[in-house]
Amino acid sequence: MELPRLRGDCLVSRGMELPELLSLGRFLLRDSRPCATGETIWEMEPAEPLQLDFPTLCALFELSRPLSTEPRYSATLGVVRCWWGKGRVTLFRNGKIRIQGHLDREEALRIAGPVYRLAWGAFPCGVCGGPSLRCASGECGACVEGWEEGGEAGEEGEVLLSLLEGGKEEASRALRRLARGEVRGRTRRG
Amino acid sequence: MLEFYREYRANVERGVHRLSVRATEEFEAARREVAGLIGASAGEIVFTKNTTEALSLVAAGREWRKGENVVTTLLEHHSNLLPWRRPGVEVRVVRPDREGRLDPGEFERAVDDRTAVVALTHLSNVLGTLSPVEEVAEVASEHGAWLVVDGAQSVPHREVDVRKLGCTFLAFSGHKMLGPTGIGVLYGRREELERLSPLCPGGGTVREVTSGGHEFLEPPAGLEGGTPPIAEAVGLGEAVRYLRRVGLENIRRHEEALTRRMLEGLWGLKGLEVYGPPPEEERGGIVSFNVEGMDPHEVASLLDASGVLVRSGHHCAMPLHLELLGRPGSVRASLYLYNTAEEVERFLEAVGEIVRLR
Repeated sequence: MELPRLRGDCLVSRGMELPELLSLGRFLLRDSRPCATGETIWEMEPAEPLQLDFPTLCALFELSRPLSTEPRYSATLGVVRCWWGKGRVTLFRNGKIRIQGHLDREEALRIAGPVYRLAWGAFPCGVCGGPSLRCASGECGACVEGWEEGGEAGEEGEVLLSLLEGGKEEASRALRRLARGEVRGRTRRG
Repeated sequence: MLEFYREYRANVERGVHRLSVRATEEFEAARREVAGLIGASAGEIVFTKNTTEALSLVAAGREWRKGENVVTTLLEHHSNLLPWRRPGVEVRVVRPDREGRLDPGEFERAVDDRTAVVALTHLSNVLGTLSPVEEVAEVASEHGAWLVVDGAQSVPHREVDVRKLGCTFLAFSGHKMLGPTGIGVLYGRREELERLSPLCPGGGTVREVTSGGHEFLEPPAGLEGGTPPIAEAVGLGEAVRYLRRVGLENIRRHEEALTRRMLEGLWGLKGLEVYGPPPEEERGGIVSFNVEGMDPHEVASLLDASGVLVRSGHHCAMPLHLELLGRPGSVRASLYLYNTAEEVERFLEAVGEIVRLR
């Protein structure tokens, strides 16, 4: 199989693991306990606002069922709203995620991790500006340094590739694996 | 405010040097401006930190007698409820109807000769309903009770004249009327202000102090302990000048038109609970609602995503939410002179989208 060899600074090459991003300060974690409900609300967001590709984001959430349940989408608001386990999740187009459900910090992070892994394909690549799903397939062009027969896309990249190349069932299965964290490793660097 | 800090930053009512004299002049000019806004005289205006402090100044500064009672309402902000809960004082709560309308007849039944204070909001900070203050003033007056009005939501938005209202005290805040935070106002009828003790006795409040006694200054200075919020008062004075130039009646009419459109739009949406009187009724520019299946904070977050900023929660009116609306909180959209018809349409479009997200 011929696979793209990607630049090292492409988002697909860098990967997307929330705990690491939080520790590096590239993502921020905030909790608030506003009046009336008495519930802690957890919010995570990129330190620098991003613009996620909304159609891709919707497709990823749609394919991730039943991990995400009752997903709803609003392009006008730029929001995906769903349940993830016992967490009520709202993912905003700017990359912010909001989680409710009487959860403590660890529980909230356990939900946010898979949601971000899932949303990763819709995050804009810093190199080409497009959703990283297009980088993984080599479709974006800008991040591709070359093509290699039998090259390694890395597990995350392979998952994203399968979305493009496989049928819906296969893509859905792959995404759920990705969200559960069963996929590890980085795409090989160019 | 910048002018104060750059050109005459000094304390007021204390020094004889030029900066202090200028600061005092500007501070007192602000007091006159605020007094003019509500038909009072400058000597009846006490600067406080906010509405809450103004109301607490009345409650804590009054000399209470055993067996007295206070009549208040279920509509009140906590700041016009909690200060009245005092040892030996009974607090009677008048209930409005479901839309928040108060019946003056209920006050006639609740107020008696042991009533020291009738405390009510002029305009509900949750439902936007107007209280029948003038009618209640008559009831309070018949029994010799003080009428304390929370004007935080009315003074910035419509013409208010304390003589016409018939209130004894009126409290409001600067930050709700284009002014800075940290400044509030207590209006008090002169002879009743003189009966209050200061909340913070100390510098600026006394005429004479000996090792064994003291004599307080007459109000307002006697009730403004310590260095007052000078820059904030000057800022409030400027805000009031601006509001008076625009015209409070113009502001009221502008808000009325926007509120009516907002209410009509919301009432047409399924999956919403909209509180307060219907669009055709006179009310303030406050619109509270809930989206079925969502808590108010989530709705506020979603509105924020589309650039619409609203308050969510109980708005410091827990009894109203729990005992009248049967909800722990609500989403509240507030309109003012700077809002536009286009913004109301954008708000309605966003709420429509949120309803579809349920």
